[in-house]
Parts: sequence; C-alpha cells; structure tokens
Amino acid sequence: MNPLDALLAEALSSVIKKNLGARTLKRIEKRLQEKYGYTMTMSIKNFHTLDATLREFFGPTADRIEKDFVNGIFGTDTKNGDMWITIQNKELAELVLESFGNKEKRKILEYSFTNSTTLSKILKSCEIPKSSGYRLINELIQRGLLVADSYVSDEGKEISRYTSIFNGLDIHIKDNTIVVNCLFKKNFLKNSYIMKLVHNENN
Amino acid sequence: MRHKRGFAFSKFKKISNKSFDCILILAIVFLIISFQAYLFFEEVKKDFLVSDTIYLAVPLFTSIVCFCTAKSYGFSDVFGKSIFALGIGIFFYFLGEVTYLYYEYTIEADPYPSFADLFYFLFYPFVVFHIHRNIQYFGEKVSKSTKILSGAIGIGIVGIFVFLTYSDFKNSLFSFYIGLFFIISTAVTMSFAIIGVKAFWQTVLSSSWLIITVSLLLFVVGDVWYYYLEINQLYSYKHPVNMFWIASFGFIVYAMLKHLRTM
Repeated sequence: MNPLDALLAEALSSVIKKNLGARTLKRIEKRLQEKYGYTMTMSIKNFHTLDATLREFFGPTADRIEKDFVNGIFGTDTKNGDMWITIQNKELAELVLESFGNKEKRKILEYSFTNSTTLSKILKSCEIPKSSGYRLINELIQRGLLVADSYVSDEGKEISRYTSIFNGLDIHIKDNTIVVNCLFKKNFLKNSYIMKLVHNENN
Repeated sequence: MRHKRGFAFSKFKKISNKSFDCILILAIVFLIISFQAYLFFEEVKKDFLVSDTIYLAVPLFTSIVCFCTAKSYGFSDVFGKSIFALGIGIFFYFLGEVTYLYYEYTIEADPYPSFADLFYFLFYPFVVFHIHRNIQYFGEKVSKSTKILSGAIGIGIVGIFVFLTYSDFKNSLFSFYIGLFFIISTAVTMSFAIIGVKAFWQTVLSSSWLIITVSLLLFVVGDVWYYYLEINQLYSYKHPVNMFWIASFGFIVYAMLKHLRTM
C-alpha cells in the first residue's frame, strides 16, 4: 500500500459525500461490501476496487468523477523540477498542521525529511525521551506521515527504517486561508495510484 | 417512528424494478384518463372547481417530491443541488398556476398573456440548470454528432410550431411572439435533455434520466399544442392539452423515485 495513497484515502471519502451525497456514498459502500468485502476506506487504499465499482455505477464517466475527487483534495505545481502539492482538503490540511504544530512531532518529521533510520535512532537524534517518543511516532505512523521504506538487519532481526513522506513543507497564509504546500518524496509519488490518475488527467 | 419509516422504505425497495415501473406507469395513465374523463363531465366553469385544485396540486406535489429527493441527497453539490433547482423550477410553475387562477377568478381578466407567464417562464432556466449541472459532472465532452442531433431537435420543435401557426399568426401577432418565446425556451430545454441522455447512457441512472427526458418531451408537446391553441383562440381548461403537463409532472415524480431506488 503506497503511503501517499493511504494519506489521501480518508479525505477522498469526504469528497464523494460532498459531491454525490451520503446516500450515494452508502450505496457505493454497500456494493463494495457485497463484491469485495471492503469498506470504503479499504477500497480507496486498494483503489482499483473503488475504480471498478464506480465504473459499474457511472460507466466511463467514472474517470471524470475520480478526477474531481482528486482535484477537490489537492492541486499540483512544478517548481525547479519538483512537484509541489497544495493540499486543498480541509481535513487533510488540518492533519498536517496539527502534526507540525506539535514541537516534538515536528522535530521527528524534520529529521526524517532527509534521513531514513530506525525508530530508536530517530528518538536519540531528536533528543526525545523514549516513553513519550514512541507514542508520538505511532501517531505519525497511523496518520501516514511517517512510513517504513526499508529494513536493516540487527543481530539477525529485521528492523524497519522510517522516513517522512515529505521532502519539504511550506505553510503560509494567503487571503486569510492557510495554504499547505508539500513536496512528497519522489519514490512515493512515482508509485502512487492516485498520482498516476492525476498525471493521466493532466495529459 | 424511525422504525416504521425504515420498514416502509424496505418494502418500497423490495418491489422488483419491473413491477415498480409497471405500477407507476399504470398509475400515471389511470390518473390522466380519469382526470380527463372527469373534466368531460364537469360543470361549465363559473367558480373555483376541483380541476383547478388538481392543476395547482400536481406541480406543488412534484416540487415537494423534488425537494425531499434533494434533501435525501443531503443537498450535495451535484445530485442535491441539481434536483433542488428542478424543484424550484416546478415551484415557479405552481406560482404561475396560482397567478393564472388569480387573474381568472379575482381580477376576472384574461390570464393569457399576463404576469403568470413570467412564473411559467422561470420553470425553464431552473430545468436547464438541473440538466447542465448533471452533464457538467457526469458528461464526457459532447460529441459533434450529439450537438448536431440536439440542435436539430431544438430547431425541429421551433419549426413545427412555426409551421402549425404560419397561416394564423398574422391575426394575433403578440400571442405568436409570446408563444415563440416559450417554444424556443422549451426547445433549448429539450436539446439539453438529449445531451443528458447521452451523458447518462452507460450509467445506472440512464433509466431515471430517460424518464426525465420523456417528461420533458410531454411538456414540449403540451407547450407547442397550447400556444397553437392560444393563437387560434381554441384553448379551454377542459382541453386534453392540459393532460400533457399533468403527465409530464407525473413522470418527473416517477423519475425522482427511480433515482432514489437506483442510488
């Protein structure tokens, strides 16, 4: 499961509800349950199942619906060859802001922008006590902001190395609105089903 | 109370699609024939009659059904707002009927042409908004052939009206231009509906959209016939042309129920 897709999954559900209504969302959820045994969140994380269900309901116009879902969540802008993503979905923007508003979580994420290492090393480098540090790290993992990207062998055991899904972040206020611009790591962008969808739509 | 509503809805859902379609089509046809038969035997109009109540009740009921459908979609951006707009359009038609009867009974003046026509006209932009909102979201790029077909149907509707009234319109030029204005509006609405049929063709909403198109087609026939009758001063409240509008609203209610069953 691509971490970028997982991060966007929750927000997509709210966009479906906004455009087509809670009734349609329930109907799609019911069909997903019947056909794949998936909930809406699970199906967004396995996007091909949602795609197939939307096609069953809306035929070829499913492409357009998916594009609207994605456009309602973020916009893309390329600066110096890097693809910056502006988060437009309120829930997703609040999730990022809340995580960066916490001093210790920010320390962890900023360290992980450029490093991929084990949890204990992250806590040691950020000088955060282990007791509260693991709780904070767990929250970041659950929210999809910190992800395992490789493994290291330590005394015969495989230990995950974690990294932030961002390479950079720019938060500013424009016309009384908080704008969150994210620079996602290229390997996550490359393997994201949702980003492929955006790329196809833009071409 | 909640339990009872849930039970009623589950029963409504349990009826098979074919039975559901048959029941509703038969109900609409039965009501139309009964109403026309009733009009045939109704006394000559002097005071407010049962038929006037029906002319008022049908669009009011249809607009309420549309508002309830929009509410059940939580006034969402596409389904909710577009169906709500359709409800507003039909509500304006209802206000047109109220104004028409006000002219007829209270002022005792000829209701055509009158201020009521302004309300009747407001029906069209809201229906066009309803169709456009759906096409905008669900429709792919409109192909050249669809554009030509919908344009030809629109021009055809206006052409039929001009052809029918060509020999008589010089006697009543004002009525002709008002009629032409309404026929152009109804033709534009119908053209949009044809594009809508194409947009929804391969979706689960195709049947619901087809029913809306049929209802608009009935409305078009009613409009063309009515303005032809007005130019020739042949219209009466007992004329079968009224049944086309009543049937049209009946089919809109049917389309809304179908929409709710599908989604």
